[in-house]
Amino acid sequence: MPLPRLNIFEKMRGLYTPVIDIRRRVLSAVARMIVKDLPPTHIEYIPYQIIDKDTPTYRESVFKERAVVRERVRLAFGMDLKEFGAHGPINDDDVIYSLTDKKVIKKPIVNVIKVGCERCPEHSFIVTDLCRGCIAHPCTIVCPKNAVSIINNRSHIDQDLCIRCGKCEQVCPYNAIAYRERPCAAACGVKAISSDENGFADIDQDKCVSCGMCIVSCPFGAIAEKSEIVQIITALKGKKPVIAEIAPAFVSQFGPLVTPGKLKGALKEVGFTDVREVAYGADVVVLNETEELVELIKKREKCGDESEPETKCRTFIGTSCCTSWAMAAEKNFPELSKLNISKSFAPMVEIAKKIKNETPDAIVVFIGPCISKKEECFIPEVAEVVDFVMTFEELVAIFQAFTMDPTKIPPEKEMNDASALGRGFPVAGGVAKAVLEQTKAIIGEDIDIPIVSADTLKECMSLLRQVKNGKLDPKPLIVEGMACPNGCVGGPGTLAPIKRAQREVKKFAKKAKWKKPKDYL
Amino acid sequence: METISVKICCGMNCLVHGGQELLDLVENDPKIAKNCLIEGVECRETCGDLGKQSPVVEINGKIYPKMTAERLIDMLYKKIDGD
Ligand code: SF4
Ligand code: SF4
Ligand code: FES
Repeated sequence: MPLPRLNIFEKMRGLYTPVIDIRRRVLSAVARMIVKDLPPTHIEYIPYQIIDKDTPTYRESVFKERAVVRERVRLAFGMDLKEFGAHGPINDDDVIYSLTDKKVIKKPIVNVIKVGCERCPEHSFIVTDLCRGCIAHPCTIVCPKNAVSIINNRSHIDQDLCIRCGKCEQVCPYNAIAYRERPCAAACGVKAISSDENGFADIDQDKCVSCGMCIVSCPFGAIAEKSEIVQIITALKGKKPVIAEIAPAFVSQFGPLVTPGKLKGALKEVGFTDVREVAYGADVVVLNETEELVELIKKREKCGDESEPETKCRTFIGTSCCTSWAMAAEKNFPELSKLNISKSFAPMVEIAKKIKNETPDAIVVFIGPCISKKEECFIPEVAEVVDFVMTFEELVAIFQAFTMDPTKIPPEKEMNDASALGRGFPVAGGVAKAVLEQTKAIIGEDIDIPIVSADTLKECMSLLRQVKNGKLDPKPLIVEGMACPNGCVGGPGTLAPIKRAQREVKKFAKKAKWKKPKDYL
Repeated sequence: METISVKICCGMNCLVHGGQELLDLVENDPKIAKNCLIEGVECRETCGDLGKQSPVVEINGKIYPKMTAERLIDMLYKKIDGD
């Protein structure tokens, strides 16, 4: 019997593929170049270091393999991709601009490396070799468009007539009809990926919310994000204090031997002056959202009065900590979102404000599982307090470049900045639960507060649709959305298997000094 | 039969270049988990600069660089089945 089907996010999870290998080797090679102060011309050697064979390993030729690596190197420097077809060296004038401790990256964060894209066919139903040309041929009978016919004793789908309803696939006794999808498009919950005129994947930047799920789903490694590691390393080597704020999903990401104290020690060894928990920011967000919820509950009775026409009153608190979710909600359900998504900034911003307050000249680096936080930094208020964003994966490239192994570092005193609820944010459902518990602690247990949550943008959007159409009973008061599968622990910049990460995040939360944000804030 | 000692290197180089996945793989394979003593261990000093030789696995005291999931499963199953 076949095993249960995995969804697009589960298929390659937990497997170390050559795609991941190349991605990580490019990052560590670029980081090494900056750590060692090699001249800008060194950039041209990196593709040859990564692809060092004379015969192709991954693609039809070593030249194409290197061409893809060249684009990855540009992105790792934070530069824009070379326009497809614009031939020239990697090291054009941009490289000089990238060698700085100032922010250089511009939109878009997520890019298709066209030379690496294999132009996978768009979604369609196709007849496979399993077709036996059976006498019953239910496929032709159920097709509402007469797109399926029997040609040469075999079922045939006319792709021009087919409306992709999937009825034929459902009824075939041999499972001979397959649904074929582009992995990148299948992973995109906001339908941002289509094809350009040559059939290469193309991201509609008006729709894209930089969740990064297409990056980890393309089996050809043809989609990648810009990195800030070059500017971060430059900052680490400079004179200003550089302070790391580390997202609560960090626990267990660096393997079973790297305790939070060792991680902190290693970060200090490579030049960070201090390490703070973003979970503190999460606690602030819990309080903000709790306040909004308490007010909503108070005002609820008045809704429908002349002073508050029904269409104007807030009906739920939408969480705001996942940037991609908040952006997707805003783009696809503008009115509903404007009214209901919390105005609170993300945890990353709240802790950054505190750091900048205490150390005004600090360079603040957010380290997390998340790519959309890079996008969030284009908001001017956010850019004021958060200087750079990098993923756990990028951090390891920096460790490697410094030949710094956190397992060999004597542990520092563990961070202790946050409550258990704040530390529980990165597991799907954690945010809603935190706001619920904190609210009940304030207004009492007996009030009924229904919550709903969704993970992956596709599920999030369908949840919002249901909320909008009043399909949910009871009507939720807290709506949590997370763009990544299973929450931040499933983010595109993570290193650890999801199950282990979930378990360890919860364990670390239990060790917190406080139970709830209100216990100390 | 003697318990097979399987040490998966969890030093930084090996960890990011497949070690983490190997550890998860062997821990979640019931046959391997039952017959082997699995440990995540510190750098075996075999990884090379930037982890060129990673991931490294040590089986019954012998070091194997550039391990892959396919090869590891195959080796351990053969050892467990005794051929
Ligand atoms: S999955 Fe990758 S290779 Fe295929 S169309 Fe999408 S970007 Fe191109
Ligand atoms: S929204 Fe996410 S999956 Fe869709 S194109 Fe943007 S980064 Fe890729
Ligand atoms: S990190 Fe595994 S041998 Fe060095």
